[in-house]
Amino acid sequence: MFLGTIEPVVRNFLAAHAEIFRGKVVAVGCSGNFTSERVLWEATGGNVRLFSNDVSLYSCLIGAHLAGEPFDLAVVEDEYRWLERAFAPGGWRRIASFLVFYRMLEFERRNNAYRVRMWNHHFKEFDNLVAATEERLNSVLLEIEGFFAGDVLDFFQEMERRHGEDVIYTSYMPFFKGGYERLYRRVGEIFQWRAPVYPLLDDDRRVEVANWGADRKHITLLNFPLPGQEPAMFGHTQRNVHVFMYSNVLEKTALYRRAHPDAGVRFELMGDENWPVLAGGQVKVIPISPVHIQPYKAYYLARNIDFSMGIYGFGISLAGKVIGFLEFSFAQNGNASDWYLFSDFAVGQLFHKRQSKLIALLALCEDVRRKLEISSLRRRPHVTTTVWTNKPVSMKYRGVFELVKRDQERGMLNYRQEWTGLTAQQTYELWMTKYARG
Amino acid sequence: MDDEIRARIDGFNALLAQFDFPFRIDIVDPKEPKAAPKNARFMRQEVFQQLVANIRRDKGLTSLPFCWKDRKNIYHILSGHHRIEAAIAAGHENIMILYTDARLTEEERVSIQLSHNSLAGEDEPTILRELWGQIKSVQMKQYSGLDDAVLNSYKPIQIASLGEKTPGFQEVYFSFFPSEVEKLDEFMKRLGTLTKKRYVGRLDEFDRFVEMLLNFKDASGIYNSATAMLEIIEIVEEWLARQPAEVKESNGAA
Repeated sequence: MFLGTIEPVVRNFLAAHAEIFRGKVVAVGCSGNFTSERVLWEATGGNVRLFSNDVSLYSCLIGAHLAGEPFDLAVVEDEYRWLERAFAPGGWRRIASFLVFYRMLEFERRNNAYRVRMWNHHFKEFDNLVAATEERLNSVLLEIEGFFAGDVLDFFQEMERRHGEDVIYTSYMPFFKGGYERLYRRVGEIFQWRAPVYPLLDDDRRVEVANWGADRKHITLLNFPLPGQEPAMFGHTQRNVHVFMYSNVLEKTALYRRAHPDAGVRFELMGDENWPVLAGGQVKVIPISPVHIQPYKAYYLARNIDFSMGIYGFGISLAGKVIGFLEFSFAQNGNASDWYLFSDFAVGQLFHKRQSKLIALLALCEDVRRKLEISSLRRRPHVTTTVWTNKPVSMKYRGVFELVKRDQERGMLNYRQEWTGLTAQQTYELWMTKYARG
Repeated sequence: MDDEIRARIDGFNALLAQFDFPFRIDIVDPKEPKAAPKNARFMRQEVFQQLVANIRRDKGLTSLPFCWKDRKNIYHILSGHHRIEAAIAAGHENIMILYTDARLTEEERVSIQLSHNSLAGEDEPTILRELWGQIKSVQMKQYSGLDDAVLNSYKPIQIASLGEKTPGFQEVYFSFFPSEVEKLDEFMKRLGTLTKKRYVGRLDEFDRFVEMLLNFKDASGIYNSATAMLEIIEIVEEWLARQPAEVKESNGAA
């Protein structure tokens, strides 16, 4: 239920510095779900004095419990008064009840059969889920000495007043705004608690926190670089996510690069010796794991694309030799009921100047549609794709897809098209007639 | 390139010849040498990006591409395709190359091209890790082309979960006889929702089942497949409840 910023590589790097934290006072700003605390506790065998901080009800409720501090939480919506019984035992039981209820809230609107089913199941199984969650939480061996509900910089300054120069300040300020706004709003409506007031933690504020920490013993995690400072750790392991850890206490350094998956599978691609098969060749579109497409994307796609992996993959063969790949995922935002053509590209020796158009055409063929429908058990009548270019049209998609949006500011073209209803072979023959001989 | 520089390069090459050194150097626009018609060696995007960054940092190539100069004075790349491509990406207008103008057959040129890729050493992991450990700067780690994941520098740490227990899901596989599929089909017709149903020839059982499920999902507006199956079961239950007792008995339900 929590979207954190501390990736496994960051955890491992922190754990490798256990000796630096052993017996020390550590102030953890923006604790989130207490990942940093759990790592330091585990790595030092509990020999660390932890003080935590955050602003959300989730973190404040857990933080108060871990610190052994009281926390007032009242249910104010009549519909959910039944939660009072679940909250009554307090401790991990109350937290477990809150966590399960928080998950339920996702389905609260019950405006479709799926949400009704999920809501009803959670409601029916509530006590069992809470008991299982409590059992899980009971295994969390973590103690913190204090929890501060409020702004991270206020927390740090308070720690300095109380503990002087002994403190190591660590901050993991959130990278993501997340999609939790509705849930947060509902939580605020359903429950009454002493919610802290705090300034917006925008980039300027985060730099302010980083600069404050830089004059003291600190570890600061950011998703942007600080000019003129070299990080102790840099990670770019997920698409468009860059993690910079700055510190003056960590002895080691770490670098984690983006590594696209590669299962070592390679296909026999079309070579120039196969060109004579063009006329009368048999085309097939074969479902394959998207993992097997990634090495080819790393080679054939434009060098500046920070690509990720689609959900469904296809290899396209002509006369038994692979000539291209297709990747699909579910469209989002405006055309959420469409398939999203994640990537389509030609590979091997280019046997025709319009080979890419053949691959784009095949993305709309009946063989692909049927296999996607069987895999997902969902009909999606359209395929959408995006081209990042400053050109007014994409020659590859022109005449194959319909241009539905041109965003010149972002250098983006959106294309959309219905399935053609043609088999892969019919598509190939159409391409031969319409494009290959032109 | 102005005449003075050209004269100095020619002078240096003459000096190399005095030492019986078989190769020459030149300074060329990186867009000038022709790539080999085919190149089996590929470089992943992320590796290429690091190469570009290194060339930018070094302000040039730190090892020379090797080319063959033909009789028309055209350079052909034998080794260093990616270095030259990266130099172009890094915005360099001049690069230094090593070249030979010896008479080489195509077979010899291809052989040189392959040898530069295949005659490469391997890393001894322990020494590699020790050398890696000498690099403290993250920037210099980036420059090296390796990373801490490849070298397995930091052991993974396991921590207990602070998350809630989510409901467990079970996958159920359905095996239908064709007659059973037809029966389900019959239920769907009774619903009056099967307006988009379409069969082409005789599909196998699996296709029929998928087709019907998709039809039901379209008609009912249900997105989740398991939810759709549960709805179908409810329909069947309602239908069964409406059957006369003798039908139930004949079906073995009594």
